[in-house]
Amino acid sequence: MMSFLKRVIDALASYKLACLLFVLLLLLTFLGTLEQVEHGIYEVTQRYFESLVVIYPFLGFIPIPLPGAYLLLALLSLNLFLGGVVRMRKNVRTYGILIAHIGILLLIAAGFVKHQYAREGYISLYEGERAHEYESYFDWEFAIWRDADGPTREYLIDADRLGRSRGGRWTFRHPEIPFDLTVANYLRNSVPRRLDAATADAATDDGFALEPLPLEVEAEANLPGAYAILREPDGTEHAALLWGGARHPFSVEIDGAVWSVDLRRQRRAMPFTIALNRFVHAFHPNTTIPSKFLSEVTRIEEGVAQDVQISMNEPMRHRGYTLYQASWGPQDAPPGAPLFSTFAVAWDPAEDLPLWACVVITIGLVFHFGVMLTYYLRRESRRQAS
Amino acid sequence: MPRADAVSPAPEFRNAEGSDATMLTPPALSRVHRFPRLASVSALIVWAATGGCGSGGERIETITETREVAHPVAPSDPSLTTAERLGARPQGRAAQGGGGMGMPAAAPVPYAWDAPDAWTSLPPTQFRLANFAIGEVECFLSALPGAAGGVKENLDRWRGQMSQPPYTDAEFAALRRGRALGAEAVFVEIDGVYTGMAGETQLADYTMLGMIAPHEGRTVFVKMVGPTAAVAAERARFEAFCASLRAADGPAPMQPTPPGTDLALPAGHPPASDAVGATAEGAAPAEIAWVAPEGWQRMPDRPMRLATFSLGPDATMECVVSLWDGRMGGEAANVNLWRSQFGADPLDDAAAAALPRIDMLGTTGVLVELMPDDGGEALGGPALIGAICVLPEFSVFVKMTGDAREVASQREALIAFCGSMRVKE
Repeated sequence: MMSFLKRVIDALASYKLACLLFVLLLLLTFLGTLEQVEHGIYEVTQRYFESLVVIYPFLGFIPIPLPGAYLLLALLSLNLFLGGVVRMRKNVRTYGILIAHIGILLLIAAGFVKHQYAREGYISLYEGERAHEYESYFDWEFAIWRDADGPTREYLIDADRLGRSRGGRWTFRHPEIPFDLTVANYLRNSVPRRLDAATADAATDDGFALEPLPLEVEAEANLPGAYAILREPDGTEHAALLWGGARHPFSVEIDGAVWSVDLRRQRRAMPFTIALNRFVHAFHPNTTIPSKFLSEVTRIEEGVAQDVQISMNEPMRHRGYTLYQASWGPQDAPPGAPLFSTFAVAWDPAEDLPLWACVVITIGLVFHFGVMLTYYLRRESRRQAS
Repeated sequence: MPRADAVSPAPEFRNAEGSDATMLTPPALSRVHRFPRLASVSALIVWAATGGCGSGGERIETITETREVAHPVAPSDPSLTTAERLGARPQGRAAQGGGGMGMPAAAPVPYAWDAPDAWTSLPPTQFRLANFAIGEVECFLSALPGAAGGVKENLDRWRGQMSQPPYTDAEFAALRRGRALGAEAVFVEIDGVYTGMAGETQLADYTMLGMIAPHEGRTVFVKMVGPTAAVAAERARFEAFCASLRAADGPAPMQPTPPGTDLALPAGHPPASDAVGATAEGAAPAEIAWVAPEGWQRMPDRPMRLATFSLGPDATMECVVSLWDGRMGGEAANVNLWRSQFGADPLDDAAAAALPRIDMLGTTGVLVELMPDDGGEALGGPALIGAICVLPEFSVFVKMTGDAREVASQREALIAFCGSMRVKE
């Protein structure tokens, strides 16, 4: 038993495994880069680099399973830890390498934390508007709430889980909600169409149905859709078509209260509020190439307001959040039309970790090369002396 | 709360008969449905392959994630239809502007229209109050507050999208004018390589039809883009769509034009004749006759016009006669409309009343002269001389546009032309 365990650890800590992992990572990067042209960076990142297994369509139709980068990096971390830290000979000649290996492990850990916990989204504001929450680019949610004049509670369901489930029927309930919500036929990208009268019998009451669409290369352009049934305790059913591009939620009156259900981009709160005071943009002459984007905002936090300027290369960083000047719109706005400014919002609890990992790696390499240089110089001086 | 019977069988997926083969209809609400055996087996395999989770079938879960929202949410409306919720408004009526896609809400701009049956209504975008697809052709309506940057600036932007240089002042002045939303509208047709809104594409042999009209402090745009042949087939319907535009709560336009018919003259008005003067019969508000000055070349009839004349040394000037029911807002409003098109400040009532008057239709009409005020009359530049005669039953507009020097040279001819106009008994 011990010998088997030793063989496993030997294999996991071996150079051969490290070389194999690097070759496979190189292969994944190559294949993913090629596929990105057709499927977009978001889809490829998910399939190749955030997965355990990749099914690569060789020649377009022969499925070849490959390990995903998530699995490869996990193995690489283990390999590096066992072979490059635990089992490494430790003396002054290897301390530098040891430190560099620890830095690489930190770098991989930073990637893991970012992948697991970081959040990204955007805020779009016209001048004079403010926001304390941002919307996800890619993640969607079902939200249920009861209309209220004051504060209210939203009940949230991660819609992307339904997208990953490849169909099926889900029923969600909560003791405070006077109906069960059944969701079916979740489509990651879709468009509602009105059916003609002859075919509308099974569609929504007023004849709409969802048409599945292929996923967009730009994943944020996908608009999911689903059919929902709100079923009251007495069996009364309300059928709804929910769509990510809808202007209004589906609402129904139950027991004198209006309840709404919406399929929308996931919303996440920030610990501060941003108000857009002024947006300035300019282009290089006779081109649509922007020469300047600039938003003058006020950051309001616990009653304290602070004016901040956000421009193309000067984001606002505050409390783990980074707000970048991302874009503006609408793109089809005629001259003179009011424009909105869009900020990309990123929250990463390990935001500084890559920097520190690089510092550690640098220290390790400088130490190592310094030691090696010292040994070399000593050896040379000895050789010249002899 | 009894919930034991709350879960229905798995939904039914089926193609809608007679519709797009990929269209999914929703699950039948109360119908028991059996999965096909093959589907059941496949689902079992997928379920097993994925560790028994996340695959098709039926799941029941308790919602665990909640969020307190401090700010009141916008009131919802249970009476909205699916079409209104999705933004695909009922035919002919613009709903309230909404946010959607995380974008701020736009101000409501209520318009109504009659869209041809062959046009497929698409959900609107933030700037498209009406949005249609006709095969490869797209057509949409938008409205913006104020001058929206100016008519010429917008037309030049459209020209850029078609890989064409901006209009010269003379070209702009010579553009076809018609009526929409009770005001004078500019119509354009631009052929070229369509580059999209932001240069994202290159589509050769494309044509753009456009209409821009002011309406109650807003500027309204209608734009159609597509392959040249396809757009040509839709030209008449585009004109009809523009003519059908009206305020959502207002009366139907003066001339409700059925889709597919050619749009030309006010309600019931027959085509203008080639003879000296025009005749009108039936429900026409009036029959107008005139004597055209020497050198004025009558052009083929065009929509929204009683007559079009080409004049000037190189036929670069245009004089348009149009006839409309009723007072059309009165003289001052129309004078200021023309002034706004030339970037001139509006006149107050007193100043408008002080404008010179000329003989016209047995009474008098107001003479409007919009010449460059910076010496451009000598140097050239766009100019307008026109006359407006508002009678209780109908209104007549005569409008001459072109290069300032040439327009000035035809001033007396235009006054004589207006003086020759009479209502035929």
